[in-house]
Amino acid sequence: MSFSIAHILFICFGLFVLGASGFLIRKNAISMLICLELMLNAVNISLVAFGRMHGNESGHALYFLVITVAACETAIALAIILNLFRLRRSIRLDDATVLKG
Amino acid sequence: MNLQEVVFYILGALLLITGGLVAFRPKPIESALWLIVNFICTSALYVLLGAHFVAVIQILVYAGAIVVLFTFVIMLLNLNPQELGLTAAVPWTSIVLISGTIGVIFLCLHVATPELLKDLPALAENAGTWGTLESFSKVFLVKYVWSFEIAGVLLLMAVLVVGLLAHHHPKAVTAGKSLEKDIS
Amino acid sequence: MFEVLLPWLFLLGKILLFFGIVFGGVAPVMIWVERKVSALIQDRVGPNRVGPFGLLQSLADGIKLVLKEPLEPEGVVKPYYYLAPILAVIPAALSFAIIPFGPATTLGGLFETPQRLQISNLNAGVLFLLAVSSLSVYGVALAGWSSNNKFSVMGALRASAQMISYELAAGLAVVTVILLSGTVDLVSMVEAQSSMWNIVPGFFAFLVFLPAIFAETNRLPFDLAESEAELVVGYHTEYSGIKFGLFFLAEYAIMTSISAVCVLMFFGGWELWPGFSWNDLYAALNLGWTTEGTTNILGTIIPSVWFVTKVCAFLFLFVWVRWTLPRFRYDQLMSIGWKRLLPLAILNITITAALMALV
Repeated sequence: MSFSIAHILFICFGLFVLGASGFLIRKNAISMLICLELMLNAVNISLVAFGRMHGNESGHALYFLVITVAACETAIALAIILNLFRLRRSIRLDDATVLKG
Repeated sequence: MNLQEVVFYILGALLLITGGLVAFRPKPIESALWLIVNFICTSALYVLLGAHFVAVIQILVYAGAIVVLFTFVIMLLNLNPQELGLTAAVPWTSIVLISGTIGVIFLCLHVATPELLKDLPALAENAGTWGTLESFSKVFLVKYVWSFEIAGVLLLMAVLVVGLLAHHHPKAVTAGKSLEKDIS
Repeated sequence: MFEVLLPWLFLLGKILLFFGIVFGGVAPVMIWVERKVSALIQDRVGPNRVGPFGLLQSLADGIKLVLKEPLEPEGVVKPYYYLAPILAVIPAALSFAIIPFGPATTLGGLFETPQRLQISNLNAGVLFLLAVSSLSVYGVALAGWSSNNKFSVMGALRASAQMISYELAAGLAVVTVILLSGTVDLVSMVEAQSSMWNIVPGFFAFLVFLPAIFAETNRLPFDLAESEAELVVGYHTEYSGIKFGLFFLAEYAIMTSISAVCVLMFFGGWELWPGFSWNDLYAALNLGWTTEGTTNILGTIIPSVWFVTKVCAFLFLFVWVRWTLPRFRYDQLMSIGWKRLLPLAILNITITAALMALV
């Protein structure tokens, strides 16, 4: 390969910053989750790239764990959002500030 | 400038552009679709690195299941556009300033530790077997078997929790009460 | 110069041949086969006007679809409306990238080592097909959602839920076959079946896989999403002309690739008979051919034709089942997928693994 780990880390860093800024400016719960997936994807790329740098597959094992956690968290968060929508007819997290109900 | 470098730069540019589109489009359905493109570009990057199995798993799990779940929920909710907008305009200045600062720190670190700037190793020792299904499973199922089992338990717990959360409890309706509500 | 270009020419030839056969040959022929076989089953004649035995009916249908007025209903979300047929065709086309159409060949001595008749030899093998078929959900979902039509949305949601439910069962059946063959690579799977086809030890896996692929391709008895009587054709109600043609084409293409994978995994691919391979037959007939085609290229072509025949038998099975069985109700469909096929598939993997460890 004629590119280094620094090139890949730059991409990961860029994706992470984009995901984080997208997460911070959204008010819609589903869009926030999507930006969260973007951040997790950036971390995954860096994991696999480090595994390649060291020549072993430990990066892949942690990649699988991250994917598992992302899938579980997405499913549970979307179930919560659906329940929230059922209660309040809105998925804006600004409207979900009261613990009652 | 060989072919691998060209492909890498194109993929990197695509990743960053689609990442920006995911983060800053107002409608969630557009974000989800650009996220699919982002994941496919990520998968291509993994193939470029030589991690073939991980590339296929990325498409299978991320692009083919997680984003499908997002698309489902967005289609089900079917909200009108007023409820979905961004909080404010995209804060370009702060993004550029913050990423510029951290990028400069990043580059200084890399100059200080030059081994990070070396080209990625050419996989000479385990040529052709790094990233394949066989060598991955030898590591994942032997060395990290506890992580594998915990991941399984985590998924089982998630299935149970989602089943509990999403179960719609129909409220018992008594005849008199509903008539009152309809009249008043 | 020719030696440098030869691998690229071979790759180009493979791509053109496979895509040409599937998208230019199989789809029109399947349309004709569907209409004639349905006519036979329903005791009528079927198309017989357009050519001898109605053979040019597909051509006439194709011309009609292309020349129809491109209707754009009011209120559709235009980018997704035009994107959805394309998103449906892409996974169907991609799935042919890993299917080997015959044994590894030297093409009559043109290559020194036998080259596979596979467009690309991915390390992940069959898993690529699973990944690509999980992408085919998007065409359906977007088609239904972008049409400004309640029936389309319902049909799209139902079809997407059905497809992702049966992907699980199909994937677990594939895991059983991977256990039995010891490899993910399709060509090695066929070579591992030279003594016994996987249908014998993997019979229950096949029983799980077959309904799963019917549900994946939205074919009867699992086609509630596009049922004419209930949902006004469901998710492609608002599509007419060549856009509908693209959905149709995608459905037949993915049927073909899934049938091909089913034959490769369970029925020995291009093997002549379990225990009696093509090389044995050539030796018995004293022909001096090999499946590598070094002496005579017919040694490679005949197994490939046999493979295509088996795939055609499966396609006929698809058509036959469509016009024989009634349609499942949606709740029956989901309960079969989750409550019957999934536990059966998991039990199958457990028992297969236990037996393989003991025996």
